[in-house]
Amino acid sequence: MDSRQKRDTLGARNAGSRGFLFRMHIFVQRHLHALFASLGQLWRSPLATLMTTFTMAVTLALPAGLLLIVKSTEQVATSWQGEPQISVYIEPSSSEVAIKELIAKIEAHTAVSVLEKISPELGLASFSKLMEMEGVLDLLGGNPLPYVVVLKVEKGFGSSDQLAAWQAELGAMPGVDWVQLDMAWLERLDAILNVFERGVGLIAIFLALAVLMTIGNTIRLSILNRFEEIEVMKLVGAKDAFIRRPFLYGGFWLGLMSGVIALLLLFVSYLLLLGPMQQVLSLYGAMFDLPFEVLAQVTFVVLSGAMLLGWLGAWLAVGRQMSRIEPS
Amino acid sequence: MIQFNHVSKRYGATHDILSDVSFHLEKGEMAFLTGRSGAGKSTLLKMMAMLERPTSGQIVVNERQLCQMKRRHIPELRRDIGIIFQNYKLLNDRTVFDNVALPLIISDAFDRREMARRVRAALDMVGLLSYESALPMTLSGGEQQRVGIARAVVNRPLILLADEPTGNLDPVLSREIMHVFEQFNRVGVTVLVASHDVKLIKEMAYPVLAIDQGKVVRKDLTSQSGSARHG
Repeated sequence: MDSRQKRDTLGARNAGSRGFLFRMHIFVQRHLHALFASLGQLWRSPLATLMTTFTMAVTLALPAGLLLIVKSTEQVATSWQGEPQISVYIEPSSSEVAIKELIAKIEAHTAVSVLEKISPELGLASFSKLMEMEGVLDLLGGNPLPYVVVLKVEKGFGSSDQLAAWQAELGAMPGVDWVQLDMAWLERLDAILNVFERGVGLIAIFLALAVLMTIGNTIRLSILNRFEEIEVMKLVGAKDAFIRRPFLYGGFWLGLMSGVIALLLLFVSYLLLLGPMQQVLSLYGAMFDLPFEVLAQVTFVVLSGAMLLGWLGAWLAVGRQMSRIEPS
Repeated sequence: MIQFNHVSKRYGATHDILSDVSFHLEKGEMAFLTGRSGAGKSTLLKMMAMLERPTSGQIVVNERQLCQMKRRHIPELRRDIGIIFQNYKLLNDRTVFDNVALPLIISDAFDRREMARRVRAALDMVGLLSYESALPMTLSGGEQQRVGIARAVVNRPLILLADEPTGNLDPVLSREIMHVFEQFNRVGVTVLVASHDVKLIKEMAYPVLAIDQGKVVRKDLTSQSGSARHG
């Protein structure tokens, strides 16, 4: 051994300690190494990796698909052609001039798409015809029906809350006796969507637990496979954080891969269901469309959720196993 | 540097392997630990690296009270100690280079170039430079032992503990390995070698800690040949 080599082995012990930038460089280098080495570990056992990621992907795709259905239904509901109808009943004592002024005011609202005026005479005629009761006026001794204005709301005017607010605004107008908003179906749909959304949330929580357990088990097996390596690392002074690092990155990769596969599954399902869905909705005059924001939202939730669950599952599994492995 | 005060180790309810052991090794001292098989040599070495905990007594290693040491501080202790195991403890799926580099990798303090330089210097010291790409399982027992020695010294430890390091080596190689330990000892490393090779121990003439019936007796032989050894 020459003198330089001798110095390399027997020299000052702390020759490796340098400044902050050097330590940062080493830190980044080690993390990048652990990141790609953990990917390599998964690559070396392709079947096990594929089975784990596919199981996780299906588990993730289910709540994500349900979330997508909820969001699309909300979109469909707003684009529905059977838009809500508002009936404004005018006080019977109102003069013709006052009724005309009131109708002009209502018509000026931007949300009105169609306005139909039903005079008491017209109303009674329709009623008599509908009920097959000719000469009903003779029986009643006078026309009891008020002047009614039926409004159809502009497409996509807004939520049921906005409609309810407009209903109150119309009701407060002078000369208006009563306003009826035909939105029961919309409220029912809203209620159903609310229940469905909560259900999706609960399913997502349960399935997230399943993903955690799947990842945890995979990482646990990986730790047991590398038991000897961990033991030797501990013998030479490796800290738990160092040993934990590749497993956490392994969990991250598993999460990311299953997130990508889940999105692919969703995309394929979407393509398969798009045609039949369009067919059904066209019968109701509705259009099915997935806006970019909804797609971006679902993609973000699936990918970030999958990576986070992967990392968390690995962290829980490693934390549990680490204390059990002690060199002897 | 190493101090044992009334240390006992008991396995099970009655099996006392070490009983009321007290001794100390100064910084930069080299000594042998002897005793028949099963006498407790390995247990004593393991206790210094917190691989075993004593049943009673106090152990001080490099000013650290081991009995009160928290789990999170154990890695720091082990980084100061180079341990050579009787059964090598090598990773068979990694090359010789990677095995030797392990203490440097885990220390997060060396870049690749410096790491490679140190690893090659350590391998050269044990005569295995040309085997850096080999897998340990393709090497003989003696060669694997030398890989273990290279791994123990690569991080320039303050203390070297060797458990039967020459058990699988021929006499010539044994002397060479002992010479490596001496070199480290000369630059201030405290070295404790557990061995039952009486001939080698007599040849080297360093202090001897002899374990007999669970007790440790120190036999200081340094006066006989210390000056000759340090040249």
